[in-house]
Amino acid sequence: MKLKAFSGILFGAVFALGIGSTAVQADSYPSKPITMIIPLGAGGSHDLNARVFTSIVPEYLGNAIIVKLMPGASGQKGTAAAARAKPDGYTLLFTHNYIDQLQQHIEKLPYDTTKDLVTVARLNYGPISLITKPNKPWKNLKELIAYGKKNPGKLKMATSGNWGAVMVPAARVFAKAGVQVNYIPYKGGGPAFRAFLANEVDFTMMFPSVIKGRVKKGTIRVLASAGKKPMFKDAPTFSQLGFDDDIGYMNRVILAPRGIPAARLKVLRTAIAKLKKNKTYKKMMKKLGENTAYMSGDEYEKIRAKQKKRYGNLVKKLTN
Amino acid sequence: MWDSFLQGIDLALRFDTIAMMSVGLLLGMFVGALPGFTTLMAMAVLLPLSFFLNPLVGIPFLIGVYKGGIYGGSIPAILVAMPGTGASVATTFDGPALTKKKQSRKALEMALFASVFGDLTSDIVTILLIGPIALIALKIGPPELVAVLALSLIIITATTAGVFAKGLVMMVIGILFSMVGQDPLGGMTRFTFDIFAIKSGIPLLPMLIGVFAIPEILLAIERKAAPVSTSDFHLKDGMRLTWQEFRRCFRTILRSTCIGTSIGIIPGVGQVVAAFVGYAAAKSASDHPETFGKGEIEGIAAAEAANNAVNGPTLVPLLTLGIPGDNITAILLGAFVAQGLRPGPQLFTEQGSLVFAILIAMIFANILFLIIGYLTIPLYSKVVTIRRSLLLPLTVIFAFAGSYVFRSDPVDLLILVFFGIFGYIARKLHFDVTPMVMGFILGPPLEYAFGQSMSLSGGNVWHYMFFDRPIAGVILAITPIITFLLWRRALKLRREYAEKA
Amino acid sequence: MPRPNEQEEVNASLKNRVSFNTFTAGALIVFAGVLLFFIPDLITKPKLLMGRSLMGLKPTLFPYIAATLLLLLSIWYLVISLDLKETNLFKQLDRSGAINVIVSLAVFLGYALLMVPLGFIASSIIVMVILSFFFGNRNILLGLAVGTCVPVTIYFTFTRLLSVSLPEFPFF
Repeated sequence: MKLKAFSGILFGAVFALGIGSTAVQADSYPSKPITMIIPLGAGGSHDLNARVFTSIVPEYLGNAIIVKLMPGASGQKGTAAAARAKPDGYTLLFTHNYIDQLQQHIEKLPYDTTKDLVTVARLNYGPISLITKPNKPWKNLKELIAYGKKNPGKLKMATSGNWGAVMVPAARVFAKAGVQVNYIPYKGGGPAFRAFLANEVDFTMMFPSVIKGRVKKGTIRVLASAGKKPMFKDAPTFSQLGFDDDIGYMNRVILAPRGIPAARLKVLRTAIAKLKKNKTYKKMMKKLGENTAYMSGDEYEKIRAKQKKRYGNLVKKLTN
Repeated sequence: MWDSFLQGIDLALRFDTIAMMSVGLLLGMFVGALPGFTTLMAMAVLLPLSFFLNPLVGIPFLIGVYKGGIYGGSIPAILVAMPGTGASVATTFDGPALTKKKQSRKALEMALFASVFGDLTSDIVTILLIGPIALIALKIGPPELVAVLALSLIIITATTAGVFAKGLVMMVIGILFSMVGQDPLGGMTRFTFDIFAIKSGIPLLPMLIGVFAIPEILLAIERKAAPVSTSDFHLKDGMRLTWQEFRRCFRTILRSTCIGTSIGIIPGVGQVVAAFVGYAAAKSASDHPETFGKGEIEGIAAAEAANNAVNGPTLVPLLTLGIPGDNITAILLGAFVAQGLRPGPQLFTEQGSLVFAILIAMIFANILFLIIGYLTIPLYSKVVTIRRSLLLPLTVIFAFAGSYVFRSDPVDLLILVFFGIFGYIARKLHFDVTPMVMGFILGPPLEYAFGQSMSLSGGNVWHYMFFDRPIAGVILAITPIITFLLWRRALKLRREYAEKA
Repeated sequence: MPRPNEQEEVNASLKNRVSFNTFTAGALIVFAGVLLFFIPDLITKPKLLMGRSLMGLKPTLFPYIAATLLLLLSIWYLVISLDLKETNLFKQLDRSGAINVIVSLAVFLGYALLMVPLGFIASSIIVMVILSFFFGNRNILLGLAVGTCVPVTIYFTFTRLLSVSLPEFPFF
């Protein structure tokens, strides 16, 4: 008798707890730490940005965000894992626009980023600049293009990897200009920059935090930059020179599996929107040399669609 | 320059710097000892901590984690034949054998002293020669890398245990394994049979743990039923390293330090290769090479001195040019940048004393390293006193946990078991797996650098290599000479050995 | 009259010299040959950028070199295998040793397959208890104690302290 009663109470308690916990979950998301997948390696700019982000945003979310690095297959491994994750709001993906919208045109992927993932928000973007050495014969982008047209295949550019954040803007510019460039892939921005400094190549593209000091000193000449306004003296923007206005932006975006409940998506978006007013966040990002150009998820979704088309055209034009 | 240096000494002698470095060293050793958990992951996790500390405290802290981590990997390598990090694989050749001979304490001490010596010496060299090293590092590009990697591959394979032909076969098999996945240059998938799980290739750490640690476990399992021999029961483990033994190995340690320092200057090669080359060099220079691999303390000295000697020069491209040479220095770059410091030539002129302070803190770190390491050795050697029936399952759990955390992919566990079986069969058929591992590790960078060189040369590879890139040309020219010398020596030794038998 | 005997001797010694090494070498030769034949089918073809290759090397180059090397080395291996005096250690494995190994491998395989569905803690506890018993531990209490504490400790150290992920227990 006693045993039966005891087991009855036990069962009842567990049942109640079970119901209670699901009820609690529905109201107070996030009730446990959220995993944020980064499909890139440790120590890169995404990793660093993420560490700043995850150390501040818990204030607004009420629970921690744990970074999960899943490098491999040029970002496909992490993206695949995020696309296949349960859409309950506890898995996010921190990636950039080239992995998001370009790769699908290069090879067959086991997922569709537009269909499987929705934008939570864009944290910031990195605007790239085309840089060269001051002792080179071309003083601006026009002269570089002219030289390239006269000597097809002779110009050497260091990239951070094929179809990566450094090569794609350059490919767009030179495809439009009709210049054949010899793209030399390196394992990331660091080695590419070293090759540039060592004069192994003629020019490259780099982000401001890397080149600021040297541009000021005059050991690097900037030929053009991304952005709405010129970043450096004497260097126009790509759009000012007649190229597409979204060239050279590496957008750092947070995505989530598309089935995520609308209420939870709202919680995430609200928290991240509040972030841009946080003084510590702004200070740390500034120290990292990054901006805090937040863009809402809905707005970025529009950009995604545009990019998908543009990248598709780019790849089709360049590869035959 | 000189007064910045003196100011630097002053700045570095802070209590909190020394305290945090000690914490870093301990954390690093702990994390390094956990298989599968790389020093890189530890530093990435601890990086945000450094954001909130003074740069003179935060950056030495991370450097402490780095140094501790490279040494920490040798602990499980010696005690249970499981490399805690890639850099300590070469320590598994002699470490476990010494543990079986109840000399694990001696092995741990030698690993510590060799590591400290290698690290300290290379740090001093780095500080003194920072300018020239920076110039060399800048000039090292893909062609030079091709030359160095090819040379390393030859040296390591030439000194493999056993039959040369079988070693070469293993090396090629390793290269073939490394080609599974995306090709390093264009990302085209190779040999994946459309299985997405292996699209990014075979992961290194589960493979290393599988091929080195699992066969050891299986071999121990075989003899499970055998009665424990009472003869070595009274042999208490705890024999300490003697001064003579250290002195005997000093030449090797010095040689390994030179090798490690040189490899550290070349971005992209790393501690793993340094350990292997140091080991191979010690074995071929020794007059009793047949003891290597069976519990020769000189082997441990060679591997550990070399892998720690890489640490100092790796920082040079970061500090002088602001370019990280590998993922670990990329994290250090993040630490600098988060403090508002931009490493590079400007930093030297504007805040020279700070940079020197950090370098000097590195030297202090080595002394702390020695003390902390020495005090914690008794702790680690207690591990071997755990009864076998519990120690072996524990090792298995750690092996699996470590393989999983590497990439959070359950396929890695299957890879672990697969290579465990592979390593076991290889052992039984007298194949040495070291060349396979070397082929696997060095294959992709070699192909990548070769492809880059082809692109850079625009067609005439040979002309480019020898005329535009003299350094590469020189190294490539001496490779066949060294190969011939090594082959001749191996032949001579085999003849002598056969005569003795 | 010694001729026929000599011939017999040579035949006999050739047979004796064929060892596991010879078989291994033979298998490797076959493998290398098959590989060489199938390489083009196993490697995706790269896209060309504006008419030029994006890479300095064709992705098939190194595989061809490696497979060819393997073939040549295996042939050399086959030839010298007739002179090698290594012993096949598998022959020295007695029946109980073999059973031990097979059982352990089965446990390993099970562990690899079950870690994610069952979660790290559960699967590790099962493996530890089974293996420690199998390896001779008869102190059941100690086995259970260690078998439970260690996986739990590892789990929390790794996930909370070191923030890497291990498979979670699937029920909460």
